[in-house]
Amino acid sequence: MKDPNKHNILITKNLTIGYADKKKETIIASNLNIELRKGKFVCILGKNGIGKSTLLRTLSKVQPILSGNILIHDKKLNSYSETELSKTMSLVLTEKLPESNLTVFELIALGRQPYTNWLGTLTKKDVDKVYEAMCLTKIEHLSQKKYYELSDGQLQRVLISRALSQETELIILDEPTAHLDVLYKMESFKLLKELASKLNKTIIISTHEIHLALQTADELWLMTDDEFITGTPKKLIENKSIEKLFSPETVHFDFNQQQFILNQK
Amino acid sequence: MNLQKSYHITFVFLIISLIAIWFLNISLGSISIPFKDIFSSIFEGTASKDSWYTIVVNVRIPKAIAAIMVGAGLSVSGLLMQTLFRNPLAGPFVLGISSGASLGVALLILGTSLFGGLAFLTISNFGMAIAASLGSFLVLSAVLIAANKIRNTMSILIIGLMFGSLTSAIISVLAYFSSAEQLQQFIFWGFGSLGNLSWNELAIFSSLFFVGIVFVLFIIKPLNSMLLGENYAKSMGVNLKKTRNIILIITSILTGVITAFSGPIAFVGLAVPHLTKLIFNTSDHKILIPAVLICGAILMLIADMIAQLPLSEYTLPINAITSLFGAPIVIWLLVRKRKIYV
Repeated sequence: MKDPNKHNILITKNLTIGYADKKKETIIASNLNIELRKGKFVCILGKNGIGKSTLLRTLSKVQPILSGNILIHDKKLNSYSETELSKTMSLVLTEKLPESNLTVFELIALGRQPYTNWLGTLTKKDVDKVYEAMCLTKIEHLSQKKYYELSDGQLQRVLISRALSQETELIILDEPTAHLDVLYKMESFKLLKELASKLNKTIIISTHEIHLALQTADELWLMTDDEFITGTPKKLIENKSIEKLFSPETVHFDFNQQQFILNQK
Repeated sequence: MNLQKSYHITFVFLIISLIAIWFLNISLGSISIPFKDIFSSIFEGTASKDSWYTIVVNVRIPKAIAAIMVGAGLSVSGLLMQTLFRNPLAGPFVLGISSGASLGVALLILGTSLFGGLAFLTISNFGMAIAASLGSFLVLSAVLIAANKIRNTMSILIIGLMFGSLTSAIISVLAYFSSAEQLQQFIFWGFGSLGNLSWNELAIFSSLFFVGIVFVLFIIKPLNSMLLGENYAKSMGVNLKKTRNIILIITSILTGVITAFSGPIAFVGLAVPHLTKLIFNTSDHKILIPAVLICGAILMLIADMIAQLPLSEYTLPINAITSLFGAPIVIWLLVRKRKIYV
């Protein structure tokens, strides 16, 4: 039998992403080729508007593929049914949640929906899984709070917890640290990294936190105007690909400090 | 560890209130009938006077049953709309769906003079139910198509209001061309009334009502996932298109059939879900749907008791009563400092 960790959980072949309506196609990025192993923590880096969210939305079947293929476990994404996909991939989105009266427990328990019966009744196993997910993100003490009473940082953990309770191999997060303070940002990266390595989850996030990504990610996907580069942080620094992220007129990458520095005249 | 709250006591209390109010509703009316005879009419099939028995069995009980179905049906439609549009102000009336039902009925009653060819259509209550359902389905679909193009929920509500104005404009044109007799029939229908239903009509009413309610049970789970928004719902395995269509069909059947049999009744669909959420403080549809059904029924029975002005010969239009009480409730909900939740 093959080593399961050698198996690619996600493959894209000549993927083109963007928006299509009846009149025309707007291509955001093309020729994306990805081969991703299980249990990796991946950070997508790129400047605003380069297509990070579009890529994540395409990978999660929220948005249609313009051309090329996405394979999850060697099966085409388009041939996954909603139920099947919900047991393979879970999401943490940037969109604001609609107002409701949900408690933290109820919100996380919604992640069990792919496994519950037609009424959504929670079995003992489901309750255990919800509790387990809360423990992993250390939010047990919040379980009876209404979600709108939480701070942004707490809500982020609740949403990650919900994705965990969905028991999927793949978790996709769109800019999970956008509204958080420095400490919460660092903790989130640490948490995601731990989840990937301990639970063997494959976690893909888009982010602007280059330094944290360089420190924690197993793999980086760099999106630039004309290239899509993948590799480990080490490799991307060594072959200087990381420099291509931003325009060299404004910032440069300092290889000693391993961070971007604003050009001083 | 008890993570899920239990609402048994509240439910028992509500069900007892419902039964008590139902009896109270039946015992009140323009003719005073002693409690003893109300009970004997219901349980033994006799009363001290034959006329009392007839009044109880053929007038008051059908009216009370109609009140329960109207209240429960409109309230549950309101709840579905609020969850579907993720907007606490959605409801069959605000979104113009009731106006759609009115348009259907108007076309049937008033339109026969305009479209002479259709005059063979008998204006039965059943025909009106179909016309009203089609009308509400039409407007709801139009609102939904608009809602898919525009994400801004405020715009959706305004579009709903516009559809409402549009349909009333068409109704005005129809009214202008119709005979006084037809006009009178339409205006009386528009006042809203829970009475005047025979047991046969009630049978049609209740069978459509139950079809709608049974469908609701099957979408409790997707309704709960929609609390997180459409993208999350989809990622949790919900077939959005199917769910949306089921909600559409249920709401148009319920609103359509209710509007056909008892006229356009405002504010119940908007106010009851919010009042229920105040009592239950949850968003779980497993709790909310039965709760909204019971609360809607109770409130409609009370509204009906007020409308019939106990011990007088007059019956006020039920639509006026629900608006008189519903509008202040909605204003109060908005003015209150606490936020209101879907």
